[in-house]
Amino acid sequence: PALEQEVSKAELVEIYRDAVQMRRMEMACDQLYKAKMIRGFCHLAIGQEAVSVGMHHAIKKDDKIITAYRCHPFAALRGGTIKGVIAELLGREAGMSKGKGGSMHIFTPTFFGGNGIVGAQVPLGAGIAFAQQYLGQDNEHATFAMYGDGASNQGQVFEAYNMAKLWNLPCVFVCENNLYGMGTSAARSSSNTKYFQRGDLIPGVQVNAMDVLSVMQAVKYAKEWTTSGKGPLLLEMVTYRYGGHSMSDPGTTYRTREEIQHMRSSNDPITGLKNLLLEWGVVEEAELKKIDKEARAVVEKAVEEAKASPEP
Amino acid sequence: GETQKMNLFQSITSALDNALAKDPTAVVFGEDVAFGGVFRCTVGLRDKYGKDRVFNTPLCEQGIVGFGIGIAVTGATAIAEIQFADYIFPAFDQIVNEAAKYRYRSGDLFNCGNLTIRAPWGCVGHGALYHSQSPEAFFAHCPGIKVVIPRSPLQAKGLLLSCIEDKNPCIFFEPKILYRAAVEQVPIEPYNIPLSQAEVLQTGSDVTMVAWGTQVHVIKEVATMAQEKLGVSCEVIDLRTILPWDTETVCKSVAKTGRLLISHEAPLTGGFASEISSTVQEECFLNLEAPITRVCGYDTPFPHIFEPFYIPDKWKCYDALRKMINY
Repeated sequence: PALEQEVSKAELVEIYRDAVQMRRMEMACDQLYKAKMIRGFCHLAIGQEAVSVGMHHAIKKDDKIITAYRCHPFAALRGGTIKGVIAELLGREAGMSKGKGGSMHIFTPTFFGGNGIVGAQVPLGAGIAFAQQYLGQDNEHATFAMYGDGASNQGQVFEAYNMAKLWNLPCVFVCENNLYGMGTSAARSSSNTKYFQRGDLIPGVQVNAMDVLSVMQAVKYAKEWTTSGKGPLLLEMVTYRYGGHSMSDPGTTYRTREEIQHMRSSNDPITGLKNLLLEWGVVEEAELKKIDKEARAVVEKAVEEAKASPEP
Repeated sequence: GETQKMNLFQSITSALDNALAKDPTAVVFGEDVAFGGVFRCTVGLRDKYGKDRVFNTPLCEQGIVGFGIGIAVTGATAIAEIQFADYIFPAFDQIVNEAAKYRYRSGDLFNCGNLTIRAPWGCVGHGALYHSQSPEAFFAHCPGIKVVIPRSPLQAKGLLLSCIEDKNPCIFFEPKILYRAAVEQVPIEPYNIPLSQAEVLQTGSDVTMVAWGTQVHVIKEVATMAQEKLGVSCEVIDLRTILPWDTETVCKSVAKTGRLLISHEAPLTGGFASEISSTVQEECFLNLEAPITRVCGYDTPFPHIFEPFYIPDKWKCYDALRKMINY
């Protein structure tokens, strides 16, 4: 992908707004879980906002995405609402699965979840890409089949790679490498931690996914690649989650607090974007503060409305 | 011998400890077992026995079981952990087509009897679709393996050690809801509880109730309710081994009582209760006073928010029992 990128000021502000709202949404989920209003499993994407937000802004509304359980921002951005996501986690009627699915089972017409079994979503993604090809949509649309560093060792992922390459499917495989599969570091689970290389003949690109703009650029490139008949591509998004694997994991027994602090202070996607926007004179700081405040209000309102919704 | 207060996961650790101590070829592996496991079943084992005997695998269930079969075939004792029974399905082919058929298709030249697969099983209150399943029925349909489910720490240790020593590949499902909740005095030294032997926990004359794992405790409570409210005397049986199951004990009991209630969390259709029901009606047809009744989960994926409505609780069982008595 080219190292030069063009983004409009307005879009940059939108991206910032989305990122902040997603961060706030996940933080609200964290609080609601601790208050025991959200039960069951809850896997938060705090720290990984650049992936969902960057991807969303690089593709069309009707491109398809499928991922595993760390899915709340994708669900909200790709045709859902913050209220819908929160209500779903609370198990209410206003939830996107009418309260019956919970955290891992949220869907929209272009977002295929939200999947519990690790790795199982990847062949599904290849299938969705096949459908696009079959229906003649593949010169304009692609499918993004996402999975993590832990899932990358599942046999079915390689089966999906082969089918996608063999049949030239418009499938972009996206390995969201947040360096830890639950409590196991990438090096302890994978003989080859260069996840972007594991697609064999499928070309791969490694992306600094703590930077929204890098993600956007890479995803745009990937989409152009697969929709011009070149077949699948593999993107490795190198990112980081501040929280544990899920709400039952403190996230500190397998990595140091210093490491987490370091990532937060020097690599945070939102802070990074904010600094760029200010540096480039896109907006005044006051404007960004306003967006922060609005995001908090939007999420708070969504939480209240979600709480008011009845159980199914 | 000397006993110690242990909960279910501690009794499992104790069994594994005994196995690793007694059998120098024994190895324990699976996802996250090295630090002690997500349910603490393997705490301390790596420190005690070393990293070449207690080790983590990557996230690949099919690989874990296939790899385990390989170890077992060479004569070493393989104890594989699948992190949740819900995740066992990528390994289904390895279990059904490879492990179960090994001895048969090699004319007994080779076998993988040294393989034991352990997995947390059953509902836990908040598990939803993928952390609550009871898949014993899928494996009951597979000649060549054994399937065992304990109801308590004391049972678990003895049954697990029997599985490990059994000359056939065994699947051992551990009721995860009981890991911390169930506590008993358990011997520190190894001991065995025989496989394929059901246990009659309480004798009775009017109704036979059969269950396994967590559900045994539910039907025990129902038996007390039946005695108090209806004056009905129940015989309560813990099946313990699902495959091969103890047809003799169950049929003998139903021949005596004439009524049978079977209960399990797993969905009704094709659940193991259907196998028991079919065999019992063949063997005890003329003894039956009422149709055999099954109180099971509904034919839906295991729900998240609807779990309390889904599980075959004591009221559903009691109600079914009442209908049987009044038939």
